[in-house]
Amino acid sequence: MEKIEKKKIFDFINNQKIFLILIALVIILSLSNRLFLTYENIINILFQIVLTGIIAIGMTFIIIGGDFDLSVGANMALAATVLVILEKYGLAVSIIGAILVSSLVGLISGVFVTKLKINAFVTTLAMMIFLKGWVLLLTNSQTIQGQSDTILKLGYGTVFKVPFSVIIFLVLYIVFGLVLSKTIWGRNIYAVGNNSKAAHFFGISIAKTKILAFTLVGFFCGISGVILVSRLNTASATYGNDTALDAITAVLLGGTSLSGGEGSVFKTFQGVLLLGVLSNAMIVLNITPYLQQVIKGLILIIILSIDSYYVKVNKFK
Amino acid sequence: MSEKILEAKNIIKDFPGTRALDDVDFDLLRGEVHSVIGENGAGKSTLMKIICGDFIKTSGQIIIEGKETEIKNPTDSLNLGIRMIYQELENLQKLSVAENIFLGKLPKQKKLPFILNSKKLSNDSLKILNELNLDIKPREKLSNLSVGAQQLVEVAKALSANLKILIMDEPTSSLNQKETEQLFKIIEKLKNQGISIIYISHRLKEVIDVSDRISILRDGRKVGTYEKKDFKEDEIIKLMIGKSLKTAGKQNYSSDEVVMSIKDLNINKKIYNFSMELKKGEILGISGLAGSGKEELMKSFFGLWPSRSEKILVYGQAVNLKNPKNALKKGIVYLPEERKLQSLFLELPIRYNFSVLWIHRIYRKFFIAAKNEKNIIAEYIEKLRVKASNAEYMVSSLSGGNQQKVIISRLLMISPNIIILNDPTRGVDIGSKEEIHNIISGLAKSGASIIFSSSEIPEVCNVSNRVLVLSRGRLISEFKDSDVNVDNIITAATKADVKR
Amino acid sequence: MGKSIIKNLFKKQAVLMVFIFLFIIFAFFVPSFFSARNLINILKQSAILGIVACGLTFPVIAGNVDLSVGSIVSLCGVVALSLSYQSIWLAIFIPIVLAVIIGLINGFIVTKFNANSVIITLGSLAVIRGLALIYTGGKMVEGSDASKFILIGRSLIGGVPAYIFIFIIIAVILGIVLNFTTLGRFVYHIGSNIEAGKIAGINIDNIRIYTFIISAVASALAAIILSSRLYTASPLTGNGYEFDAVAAIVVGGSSLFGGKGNIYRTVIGIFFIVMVINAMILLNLPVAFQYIAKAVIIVVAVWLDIRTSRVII
Repeated sequence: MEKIEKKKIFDFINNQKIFLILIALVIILSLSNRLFLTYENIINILFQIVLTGIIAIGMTFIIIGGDFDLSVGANMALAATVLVILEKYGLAVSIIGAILVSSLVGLISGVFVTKLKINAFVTTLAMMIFLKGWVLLLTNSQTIQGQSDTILKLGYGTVFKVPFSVIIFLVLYIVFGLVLSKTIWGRNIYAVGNNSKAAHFFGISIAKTKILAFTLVGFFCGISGVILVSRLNTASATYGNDTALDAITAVLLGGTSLSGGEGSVFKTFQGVLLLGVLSNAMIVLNITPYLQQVIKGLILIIILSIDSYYVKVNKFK
Repeated sequence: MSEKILEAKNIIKDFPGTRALDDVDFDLLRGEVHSVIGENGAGKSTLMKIICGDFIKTSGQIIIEGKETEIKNPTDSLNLGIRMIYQELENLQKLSVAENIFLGKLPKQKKLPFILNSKKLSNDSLKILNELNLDIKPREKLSNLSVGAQQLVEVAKALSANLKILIMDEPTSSLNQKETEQLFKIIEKLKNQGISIIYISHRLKEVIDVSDRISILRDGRKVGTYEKKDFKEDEIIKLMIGKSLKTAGKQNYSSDEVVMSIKDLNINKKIYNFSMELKKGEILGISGLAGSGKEELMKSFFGLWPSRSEKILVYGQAVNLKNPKNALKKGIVYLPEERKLQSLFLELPIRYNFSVLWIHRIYRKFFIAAKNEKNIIAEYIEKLRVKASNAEYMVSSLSGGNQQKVIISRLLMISPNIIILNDPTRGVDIGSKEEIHNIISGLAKSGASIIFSSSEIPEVCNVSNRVLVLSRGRLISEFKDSDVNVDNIITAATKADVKR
Repeated sequence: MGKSIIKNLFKKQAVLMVFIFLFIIFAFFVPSFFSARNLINILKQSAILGIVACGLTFPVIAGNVDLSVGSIVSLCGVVALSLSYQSIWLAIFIPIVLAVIIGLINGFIVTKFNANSVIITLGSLAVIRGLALIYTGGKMVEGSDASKFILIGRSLIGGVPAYIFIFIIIAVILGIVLNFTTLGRFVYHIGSNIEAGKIAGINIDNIRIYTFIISAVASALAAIILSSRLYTASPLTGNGYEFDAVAAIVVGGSSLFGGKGNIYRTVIGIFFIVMVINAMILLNLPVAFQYIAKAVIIVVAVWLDIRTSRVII
């Protein structure tokens, strides 16, 4: 009896390890800096991670399905650009237009991956380059400014001192966390990521499943683009350069495996929080942005190495 | 219970160059267990693949429940209520048992059909698992279960659909004693529900225990069908194997010098305390039925399968055969059984496929001199009569027999002392087969030692001077010279096939 | 059997055909395209990128990708120029050593952990670029006026920049390694069939690590030439080189799945892309179109490769 219970405890800790690391980090940071655990700082951290965080939701779907998407940053920049350009036609039109365009981009990526059978790496790499060119064209290689300042009210508006974007962020996590775990489509994504051959054989349409997932990522890029503009009212081709990397890091950090077939939106939430806390800690510790980039790259390499090694070792059962 | 649910009449299946099934008749009654047995290459899996829609028959009729039907793809057979459980599991490791059982058929919420009804999923899975008396929790992650338990979940999965015919391919190969008993109880239950089962297995004792009828295939033809009351093991075996080929006229070039000796080799759960000595110039056959551990043993000789042994000596020196590189260093070469997956570099030129061993074992220089390479390749093209007009073409352009000759040349080019051949004539036409046998004989004559294994027992008898027979992981018998014949080997291989 | 031989030959020369075809079209319809100055310009651009792409060919044939090559160019570039103040030999030697270490680390992680080389080298990209930024404090580096280092990039031989010849030499050397050495041969084998490679006793891990080292060192050489030529180096130099290199390899007809490709194809691919971009610049098209063209070229090339592709078992 004791052995089984010991194993259960071990498994439990293993499953919650990211959460525990997060708690430990929070405790350490709040002990060393009294200002860390204040309402303002927490809101601040959340405010910073919204852009990457929302895209990370979509990236979770994609990675569980067995792919990854490198074009998310460029897609977000496109959404921002479309929004700024359309601003003169009214806020609603411009926001909806931006999100539609980004979703369409995602849809196209999904079609390429499933129908043309070009793998996710090449498709999303080419899409990233393509979108960057498109944004350069639309912005004339400059940073463009929106016509009206109304959108800034959305960017900095709050409800009970919580910024709109943070509320959107949390709501999206709850909603799409449920979508992934409770809908048939969500379960199909897991099936395809586990064994696409078997999934196909038993009637699951890989094309439909994946195309919808890629469209969803595009949708999230659109939302992030809108939120981005709501803070700066500008758009530029340089936006979103690191987004793909950050989003993938967040998903992997949360414990979802790059090999697909397992993971959850909730895990990604933890990963996003962890990344946010780490970024905040690095700023507080006065680490230069250059060193921060090095550290982020190292985090990605380390976390992927651990994940891959785990997969490799468990293959030979 | 006496209605025919499936009838296959005059089934012919041709592949380019071979006829895999030649006018085969097969029928299945409702609620019966009808086993199909035969050696590898007899046509069992071809016939099953036709029934499952993986292959399309060249000619013949398939009649399901009295109606003539065309099964054009796997979905057709699924819709007809036919399910096959494969030896290699194709399941979703990281998902729960319940999600595996209901793959593609997840129960939906009544009012919101895009949302999963997880309660119903759990309950329905539990129902099936209980029906089959399996103590497995629906929410358990599949990879946490033993391979045997996963196999049983596959059976549960088959039941979640409209099941009429269940085909099981070597179902007990990964099951332990308890799981095998569970499986047989499940088969009983299925029979009572009117479900018919086609059972494919090498384990003759098992087949005799569980079947109502046994059909025997050999060389693409059906050679007999037995009813339960007429089951006679030796007759069945004789039909399976066919006439024993003459072993007279085979030269024995073995000397007394021991080139390799193995003491107490163990492979986890597969081989127990195996010991042997290989003599110079000898052709040693390793034989055993599926599940005897023969495959793993052959691989372990070349470091492709982890093993522990007390001592392995090659030419008197202690060696550790933990990977192919070590084995190659000692002059041991290996011919894998799946040449497309394990030997051939399909997109690469024939030349590359020839010389891949030679360049780092014999030639050993950083720069490859084109002339030297050309010469040695030409030498072997002539020696083994390989039909390849241009060594720059992709090796995928060659026929199966010629591809095999390229692989064999690759091994011989480095003048090995010990040659391990794992089913060297599989998928090879009769002409090339004979040539390869002659090559093997010639090698023994020139002093090389050969360890030979084949899926065809007559071939092992035809080629080997001495045969070691394995059963359930242990060395059961050894036969020499005139004692090397099919009857002896089969008797030994099945003798200890007793459930422990 | 005969059909696959013909198909093989046609495919081999298909890119060359398209390249020649486009060249002729550009020569007639794009102003100033066919001038000696412009053609040498194309050669100049192809040289730097070409060295990187030729190095990247090795990991690609082995079935991997090295996306950190652009950042290696930037790091080695700034290091080289900053060392030009000490000695020309340090300026050449140290960046190469740096590249070997980077290649070793990249290769080690990808092989020992069996990790996806795309994501790992993206991580390396961030790390190396960050290191370049830290090293230079975010500023540009200028070379020492007193140093002979500038000769690498600026000397001419018969009116043509010397480094074009360096590019040719490097391409030929890499081509010889790929086609006539055991190492090169094994790169093809592991790209084609790892299982069979293992059984043939090939040390898969070592060969893979060598491919990453070769790719990194090639980038270092390109960086030395580029920084010598411009005589300024920025930590952001080389941004995007990885995508151009991948595009060149793919256009040339090599397969990203591994087992197929060679230096000759990569070189054609590089000329192809540089030529198309050159034509766009001459036609006064905005920079944006270059990105779009690259993206389209990559997709079309890969799609064609997949269609006429891999022998299916």
